[in-house]
Amino acid sequence: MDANSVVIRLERICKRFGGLQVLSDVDLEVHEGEIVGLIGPNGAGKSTLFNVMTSLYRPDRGGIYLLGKNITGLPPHKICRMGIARTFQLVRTFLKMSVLENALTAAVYGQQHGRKNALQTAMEALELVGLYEKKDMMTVHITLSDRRLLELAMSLASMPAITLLDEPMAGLNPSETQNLLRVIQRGRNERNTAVLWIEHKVNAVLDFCDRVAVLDYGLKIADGKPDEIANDPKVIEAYLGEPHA
Amino acid sequence: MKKDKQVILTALLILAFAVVPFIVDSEKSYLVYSLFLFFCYIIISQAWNLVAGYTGQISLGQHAFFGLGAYTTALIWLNNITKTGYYFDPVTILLSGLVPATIAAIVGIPLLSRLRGDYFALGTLGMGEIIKVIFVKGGSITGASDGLHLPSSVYSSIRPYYWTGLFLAVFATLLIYLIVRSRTGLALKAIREDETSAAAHGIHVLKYKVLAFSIGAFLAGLCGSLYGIYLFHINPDSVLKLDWTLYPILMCVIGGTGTITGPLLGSFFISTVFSVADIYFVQMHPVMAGILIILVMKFMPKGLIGLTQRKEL
Ligand SMILES: Nc1ncnc2c1ncn2[C@@H]1O[C@H](COP(=O)(O)OP(=O)(O)OP(=O)(O)O)[C@@H](O)[C@H]1O
Ligand SMILES: [Mg+2]
Repeated sequence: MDANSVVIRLERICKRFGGLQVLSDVDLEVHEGEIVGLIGPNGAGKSTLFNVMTSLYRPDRGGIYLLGKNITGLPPHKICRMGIARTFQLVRTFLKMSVLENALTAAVYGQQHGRKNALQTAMEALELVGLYEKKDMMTVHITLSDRRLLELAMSLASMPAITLLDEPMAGLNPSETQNLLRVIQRGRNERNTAVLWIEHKVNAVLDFCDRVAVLDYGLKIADGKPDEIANDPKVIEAYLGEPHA
Repeated sequence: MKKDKQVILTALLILAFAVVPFIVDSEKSYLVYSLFLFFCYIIISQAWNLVAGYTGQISLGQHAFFGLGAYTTALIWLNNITKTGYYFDPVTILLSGLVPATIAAIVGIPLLSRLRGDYFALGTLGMGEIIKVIFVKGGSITGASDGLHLPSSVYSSIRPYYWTGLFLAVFATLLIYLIVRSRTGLALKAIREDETSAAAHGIHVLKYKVLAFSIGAFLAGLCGSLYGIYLFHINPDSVLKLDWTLYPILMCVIGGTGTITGPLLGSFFISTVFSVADIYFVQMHPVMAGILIILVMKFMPKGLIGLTQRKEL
């Protein structure tokens, strides 16, 4: 892969909360159309990395480059429009709005240009995740796993260059999980959308991703092809040395 | 089909209100005055509804914008600024909405970017007090605590108040209806539901909060202007009192916040209660209102509008 196809590049990202160093000099690159897994024990700093990438937190040091542009410190709404979509570990859909309104909000405000076809974009995204039938329901009345799918639809509706998924499979049953994987793959195949994917189900990540990066106590300890990662002694130690759920 | 029916029914209802002054003796009847108040309450409660019900920003400073509207009208009139006739002059009324809207945008930017939730509420309360102090200490310009007196000799009938009130109430309701059904409405509701998530989905949170706050101030200012020319005597105790914030909250909460019809029902309910209380229990209506709020909150937590919705578990 050549350097031109780099969608996002993180350069020596550092972040601390009080006395706790949560991210230390994290470097990471994701290329066009690539699906990259981000794994690591609880508290490793994975979600924090997403929050830094979407400017919910400002890094103490380091730079974030989207399609070659330095986006460090830009406000979150700009970052979304420039092409980074995300889901949250604890789902954050708009509960007292309908399913369609949620998707429409993402299509109207999340896209760079495209307010014209927002309704169509939103409908397509709902169809893709299998929520079209429920589009008129209030979000507060759909199940938690449907809300996860809705969040995925919202990220698709903003037509991103890269989607950040924070444990999208948590709480989904096997058929919903299959559906989710299909949706992610379709996004990649049809639009060449890159994906950075935090997941606790390590096997799913190793099976599915093109590349996997491992965080441990805020340090990136490995980054490579799934089979390399599976056999990396440092990764095995991080997982075995750490009791995790 | 259903929608056409609603439009026709609404139009008929507005028409029915419009002809009331022809049917009853408007100068003697208490009904016309009560309905005039009802219309004023609709305007200010729809204003609060947009800011708090749809955007989720609990403002306790609406009385400041109401008062600014009234004072703007009085100052324009007494200083002969626009030379447009003043009494029920559309230019004066419009400016009395635009001045508070502008001030809301200016103070809204620091308030809304720094303060969230309860702190924003307290901030707006503080802003209201500061504005009140400015008018009390305003010397001869604002008439200090005695306020400003408009030439009441122009008064001839309550009818123009009634119709202007009806017009503004319809305008306010229609405006809020159109806003919340538009794309702007999506942004406002998303901010109400989850600010962080709204920002992460591309919404410029501060911009839309300030917009809602400013439109709310605009409507409150229009209402203040109308009420000011009804009073003819504009002073801090009459137009800058906290009631002009508390009443709309009361009416929205009783009727159902974050809905279009809720504030209408709430305004109707409260103005009826106040009118009845004024006749039968003079000076007792705060007590009555208090008891009613407690009853409504206890038995209808979603407000009166909750009665029309299906029961859900
Ligand atoms: N806003 C914050 N303030 C203080 N500490 C925080 C904050 N956010 C995260 N942390 C801490 O930073 C560390 C990393 O948290 P983070 O949520 O990024 O981990 P994670 O890798 O996503 O873990 P998990 O797999 O459990 O989701 C944790 O110790 C957490 O308590
Ligand atoms: Mg996490």
